This record gives sequence, C-alpha cells and structure tokens, in this order.
Amino acid sequence: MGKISNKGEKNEIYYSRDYRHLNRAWITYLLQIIFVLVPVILIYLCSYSEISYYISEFSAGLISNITVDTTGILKEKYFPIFGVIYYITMKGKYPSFTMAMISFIVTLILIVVFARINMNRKPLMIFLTIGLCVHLASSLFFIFFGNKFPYTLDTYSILYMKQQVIVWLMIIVVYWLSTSLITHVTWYRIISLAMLMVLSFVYGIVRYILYMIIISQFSYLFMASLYFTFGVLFDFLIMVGIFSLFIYRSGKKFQGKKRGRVWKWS
Amino acid sequence: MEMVVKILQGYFIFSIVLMIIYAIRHFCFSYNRLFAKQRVSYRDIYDSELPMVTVMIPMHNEEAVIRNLFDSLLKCDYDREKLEIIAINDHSDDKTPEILEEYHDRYLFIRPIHRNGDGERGKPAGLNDALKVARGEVIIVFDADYRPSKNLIKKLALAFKDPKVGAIMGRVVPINAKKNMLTVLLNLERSGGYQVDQQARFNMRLLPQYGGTVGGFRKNIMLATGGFDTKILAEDTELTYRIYSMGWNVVYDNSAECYEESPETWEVRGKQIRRWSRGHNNVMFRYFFRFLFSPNVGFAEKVDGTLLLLVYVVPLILGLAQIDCLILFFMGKMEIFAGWWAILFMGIYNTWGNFAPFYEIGSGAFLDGMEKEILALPQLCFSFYFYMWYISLGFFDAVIDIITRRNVKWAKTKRFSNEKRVENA
Repeated sequence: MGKISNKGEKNEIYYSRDYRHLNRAWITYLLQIIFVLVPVILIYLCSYSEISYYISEFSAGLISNITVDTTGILKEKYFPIFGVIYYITMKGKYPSFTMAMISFIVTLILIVVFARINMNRKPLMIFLTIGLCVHLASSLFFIFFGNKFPYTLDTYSILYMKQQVIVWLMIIVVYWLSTSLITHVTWYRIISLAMLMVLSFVYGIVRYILYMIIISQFSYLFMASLYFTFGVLFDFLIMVGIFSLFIYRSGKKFQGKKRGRVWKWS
Repeated sequence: MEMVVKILQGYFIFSIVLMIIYAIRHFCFSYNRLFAKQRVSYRDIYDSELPMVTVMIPMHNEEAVIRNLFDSLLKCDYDREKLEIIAINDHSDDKTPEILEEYHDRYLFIRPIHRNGDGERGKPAGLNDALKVARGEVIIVFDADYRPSKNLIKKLALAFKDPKVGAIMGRVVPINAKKNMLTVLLNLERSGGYQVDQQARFNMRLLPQYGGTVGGFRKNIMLATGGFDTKILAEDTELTYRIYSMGWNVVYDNSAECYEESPETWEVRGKQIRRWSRGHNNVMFRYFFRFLFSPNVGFAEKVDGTLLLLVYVVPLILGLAQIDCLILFFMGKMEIFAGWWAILFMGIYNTWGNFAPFYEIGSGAFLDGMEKEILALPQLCFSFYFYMWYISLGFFDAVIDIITRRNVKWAKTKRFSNEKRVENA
C-alpha cells in the first residue's frame, strides 16, 4: 500500500491495516464512564424539566406570533425522581370526511406514481413510499373511525415531548459509547457531543413547532405521518452524521504525524 | 381487545430486547477488534510440504471478467506443481467456453469443465461436479469477477496445516468502491463486515464465516458428507454450519485480501441481497436446532452462531415492529413506549449484507484508513427500507422453499466490468 508517484515508485508507505489496533487501558475506559458519562446523564435527567419548559415557552411564543391560535404551557409527571415535563397546549382540528377521502385518493395516486417511476427501487423512493403508506393508513382511519381517534393536540404534544426526552438521553449514551471506540481524548468527544446536542435540540424544537402548526392548521390527519416518517429516524441521522464527521477527523489525525505512536500490531 | 394490545406490546418489547442484544454483540466485536490483541492467521508458517490445491471457479456467461481472474491467478506465487485450476462453465452461451479452451491450451493446469444439457444448474451443482475430478486436498473457490493478490493462495492453503481447520475465509475488498454512492456504501459494509466483524469473531474464538469465495475447505469433508446441497442458494453459510456441527473450525485471515466487483445499481443489489436472504434463511431453518444441540459446538459458539443464523430475519422483525407501533399509535397505546421505540432505530443504521451497525462500520473504516468515504455513513438510514424490503422477500422465498420443497434456481449477479476499467485498475 502507499501513494504511487508518476514514475511508479511509492513515495510513502502506509502502515499495514491487516492486524493493527489501538492501545486501550480498561481503567481509562471505566473512569470515563464513571466521571464523564454518568454525571452528564445525571445532569441531563435533573434538567430535562427546565429544558422542556424553555422549549415549550420558546415554541409557544413563536407559534403565537405565526398563527392566531392561543397556546399555553401545561405540565405532567414523568420520571418520579427527576420531576415534571412541560408541553404546549393547543386546540387541534379533526379532518372532515371529504378531506380524509381526498387525502386517501391523492396519497394512493402518489404511491402508484412512485411505484411506476421507481423501477430501480431506489432507497430514497422506498423511504418516501413507506411514508406515504403511513399517511394512507391515517386517511383510512379517519374515513372509517374518525370519531375514535385517540389523541388531541395536547396528548400528542406530551407524547412528543416525552419521546424527545428519551431520544436525547439515548443519543448521549449511544454517542459517547460509540466514540469511545475510537479515541479516549475526552475533551474532543465532549465538544462533539455538545455540538451534537445543540443541533439535536434545535432540530427537535423546530420540528415541534412545525408539527404543532401543521396539525392545528391542517388537522389530525397528518399526525401519524409526521410522527413516524420524520420522527426519531432523523434524530439518529444527526447523530450518525456527527459520528461520521468525528471518525473522519480522528482518522485524519491518526493517519498523520502521530500515527506510529497510536497503532499497535499485536 | 385487551389481549390484542398485550400481544402487540409484547412483540414490541421483544423487538427492542432483540435490538439491544445485537447492539451489545456488535459493540463487543468493535471493541475487541480495536483494542484487543489480534489473532493472526497462519501466514508466518514456512513449510516445504504445501498441500495440493484445486482452485474452482464456477461461472455462467463471464466473458467480461474471466480473463482478469485468470491473469491474476497466473501471477500467484503458489507452486505450479501443486496447483490446478478447474473452471466450471455452467451453461454459458457467450464466449466463456472459447476463452476457457484458449487458456487450457496455453496452461495445462487450467482445466475447464463444460456443463451443458439438462443437468442441474447453479454453483453448488457445478462445485459437486468439480469435486469429483479435483486432485487437490484443499479446495479454494473464487467467483469469476474476483482478482486475487499474488500470495493469496499460499496464505489460504497454509491454514490447512492445522488439523482442526475445516475451512478458511479471506477478506473481500471492492475494486470499484468509488464508482457511485451504492459502491461507497458497499465498501463501508465490507470494511465493517471483514475488518471488524470477521476478525473479532476469529479473535474471540466464535464463529468466523466461510463466505463462498476467497476461501477454501478440505475436499474430504465435503465428499464424506455428500457434497454441496443443490437446494440451498447459500452454500457458503451451509458449509460453515456443517463444518462446525462436525467439530471442525473455520478460520479467518484478514491479510488474505481479494478484490471483487460490487454491484453498481440498486436493482442488481436488490436481487443479490434477496438471493442471499433466501439462501441464508434456508440454512437457518435447516440448522437452527441441529446447531443449537450439536455436542461439537461450545456455548459461546452456539450463542454467536444462533445470532448469526437470525441476521436475515431481523429486518423483517424490525419492519413488523414498525407496523406494530403504527397500530399501537392508532389505538392510543404508544404513550408508555414514548421514546423507547427509538431503540428500534438503532437497528436501522446498519449495513445488512453482513450486519454491521454504524459504530462497527465506523471502526472498520477507521482501521482501514478511509477518509471521505466515511461521511456517507448517514445514508444508511435510507437504504434500510430498501434492505428491509428485499431481505423480507428473501425470507418469504425461503419459507415457500421449505413448504413446497421446490428446486431453487440459481441467478448470477450482473457484472459491470469492462476493458476500460481493467486498464485503469
């Protein structure tokens, strides 16, 4: 392996990749979990109540400026030790039978069109088709069982907020453990985790506001497709995106000047 | 109605527990590969008595790629006196037969077998025919689009000096990795699957898998057990479980690299993965209990082997879990699971050809020294639904195979190679 010059000679010989590995002391790994990960989790759990309050307050303020609907903030018990969770209260709207019917027909046509133009079964098209299928199910539900829909916008709002609290907790744990595989440089991982959490919070808030506006203005018909198609999958997308950037940066660093010191060959 | 809700919630919990088990399993693999002492294969053995090796190349209409493989094999440093190459022409109707005869005329140790007429088609049937005439005690198999490195045969053959070794697997590296987004993703998949998964399983004395190509096995094991089963598409997975059930080992050599051409279109990839899923699930149905209760397999191997057998069922389980969630949502029963269903999405950021979660792929890419390719990792989320669809279809194919006992029809993967790329490679 190595870079080959115009003369066909190798001007740089890379280290063999076959059996190389990193040096890691178990004790460092455990200490990082005890003194970084566990405290971060505890701080997060102790502050999710405040986080949900600030998110709700900010979102309610913004929604009031965008729409004429009135909003308020409610709270509900969540984890017994760590306190309540806050969420926005708004008035939702049921779709009419005609609207559900039109939605069903349009979605069905779109699914057929997607299937026709997607002869190569491209992943993105399959993803969108599945999203449309969820919306189709929602349309059917409102055509046949509209009066039995089990949510109001308030119950959906609390469901969303509870989901985000757990998703953010999981992101902290999964991201920390995943990056621990590559480097034990703690500050580097803390900075990338902080960056990830900021991005994830921003995405979570923007999505919350959009969901509430869409459902309040255009009816509960869109609740399921929003929840399932643009939900948790995209929270993880941000995490995996930051993780890939982290690996990219770490890889460059480890292939650079210090490479001889970090790699071991059994 | 309450019972229905309980069943749906029970299935949901089962899916989450399964995902957590796989997540932990692959975290252990990644950790082991990155930080543990690596178990090196047999490359440091120097022995004057190398075994007689037969290289088998099953092929069907391979005129676009076969010259590349022959030319690579001719450069191999294995003793020609102890090497024969059997090219199995399986009902080709292009110029493959003429090319084989041309090479046979120039190199007598290249022996073609022409399979025509109404006989059984497919790779396992072809290999069975070749086994009857092979002179080697060790059989090494390559697909026609592969390009072995110069010392590959020696590295693979040396392992059979260990009397416990029944089969060996080398590492597959895509040659067209930068062609498009699909090949970039397949390159990442290979990296996670071989650099991390296979090596870690070899390190941990679990169950490295024989992959059907870039690997070898003892001829006498196959002959003693009736040869390859022509009703199974995944003859490689079947061989792995057969070998372990009989008390032999499969070993992995991470340094034995061979270059392959990955599928370049999603359509071709879809057909390939559906075939893999069908074959793998056929083996799963056949070996699940036989392997679990085999007296020749240790406890850790059983756990790993069982999880390996189930990997091509997991996408279907996840797909059903999402439908399950949708039903619970419309029943108003999602609240207690709010957030926890996110664990299901842990499984989505996987490659499904060889089951590697995003952190395992990241570890493999990091060890391989990949740079910009790793930035394609988030794309995995969209390919999950593609894989879920085709792997599930493969699962149902296998179910129908079991019920109807029908004969399976082998379909080869489309090749994309052309002369221009060969010159550039």
